Amino acid sequence: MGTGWTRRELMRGSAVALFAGFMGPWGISRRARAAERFRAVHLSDFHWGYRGPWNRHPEASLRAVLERVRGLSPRPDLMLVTGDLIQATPESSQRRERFQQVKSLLDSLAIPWVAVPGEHDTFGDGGAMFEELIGPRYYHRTVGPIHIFGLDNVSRGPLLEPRQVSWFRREIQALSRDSIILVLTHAPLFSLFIPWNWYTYNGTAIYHIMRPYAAKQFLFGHIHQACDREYEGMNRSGLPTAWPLPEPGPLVRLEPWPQGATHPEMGLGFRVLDWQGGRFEEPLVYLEPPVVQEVTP
Amino acid sequence: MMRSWAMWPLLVLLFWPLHPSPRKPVPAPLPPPPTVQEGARLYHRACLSCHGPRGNGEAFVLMPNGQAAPRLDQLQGTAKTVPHLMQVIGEGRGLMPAWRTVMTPREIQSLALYVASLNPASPAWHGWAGHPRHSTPASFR
Ligand code: HEC
Repeated sequence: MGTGWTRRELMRGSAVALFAGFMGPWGISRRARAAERFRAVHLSDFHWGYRGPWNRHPEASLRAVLERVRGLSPRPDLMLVTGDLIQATPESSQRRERFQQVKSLLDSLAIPWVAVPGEHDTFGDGGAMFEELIGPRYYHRTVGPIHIFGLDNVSRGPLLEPRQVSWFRREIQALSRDSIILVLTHAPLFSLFIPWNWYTYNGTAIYHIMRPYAAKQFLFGHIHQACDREYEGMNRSGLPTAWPLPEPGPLVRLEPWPQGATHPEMGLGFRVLDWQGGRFEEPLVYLEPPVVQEVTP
Repeated sequence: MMRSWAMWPLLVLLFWPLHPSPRKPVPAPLPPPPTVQEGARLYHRACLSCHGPRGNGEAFVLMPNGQAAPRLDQLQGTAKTVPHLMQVIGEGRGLMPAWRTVMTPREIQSLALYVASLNPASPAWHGWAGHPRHSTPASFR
């Protein structure tokens, strides 16, 4: 448990898994923070446009997840999407269509949202269409009490270009030490499993810049399953809405298993981030519980 | 008799610090030369996922379009020469990342040496002409 790869408690028989995501003390004025409230939803890996056995109806899965988000009370202030909004396609007209469909679906919830690109989103054009239709590849937004940094660690390979790192350093160093900071990336910034590209070659640069800040969290997608890892702060993955992936370990080619036609929603869902009383509570919400419920590294 | 013999090492140790030592100028340390070993280490961190642990195209991950990165152990002609490999590894090509952005020129040289070494017929590498520690021996020039 202590390693915290995934610490899940599943309420058996229900599709809801509650993760008691105690963040630990932030080391900041907690009383002042106690009054602040903020709710975000972390979504990931839609792979909109995918056709095949890994999920026979990825569009239906995304719609089902979004319906659940729509039903949340209190209503989220923000949706965070950590990449792979679409399935890669070499056809630019098809890419445009996929992005537009995902965008209008997300817009239909009337909740502000931000996204970072995944390698499927930047395939074929290095992220040009993502920037045109979705937003910049990397950015800094302030929503309520939270500073949100989106980074691109996929479009140039499993790395962050030096220009992006220096931009990040400048932005971060302009913030006060007690700022609450969420860093969004598609792939994890730490080395979760290098053989499957579940890492960022120079991710340590970001952790280094973030060291002086206590109230921080790193959110990522890409691995299509729940992961909570303490490394230079808390790193958490969002759940996929497309298909689950096996846990890392054996040196085999990374492949999803075929999602049974009868259980297309196994392991899919999202994560809720509630900032309340000076800390985050982060329950996972599954459409259907995953195959692997407890993974040890 | 035994006792005086035993004295000698003690005396030497005692007076050694007074032994006149000419002060030679300390040469600036050379940067470590590129090596196949360093290339192998970097390969396992940065290349193995796409090109496979043996560089034979048995990749652990496919490109988003479902294709695998090419094998690196059967390169032909100029493709397996170190300068060409340095160019591809540094500048990237298509979905091949440009590693120059996050690696030093020496690291890219090391990777080029390693990839060249995967190719059975590649000529043995005799070092970087001009690098003081690894210059080309006269017999190979
Ligand atoms: C994200 C996947 C990926 C990673 C990581 C990657 N490569 Fe590549 N590499 C490719 C692809 C794809 C190509 C084919 C590019 C093309 O020709 O369009 C390629 C091509 C090459 C070539 C040219 C092969 C030829 O046929 O001439 C070399 C050499 C090479 N890579 C070496 C490396 C080295 C060394 C590393 C690690 C530093 C590395 N690659 C990391 C995907 C990758």
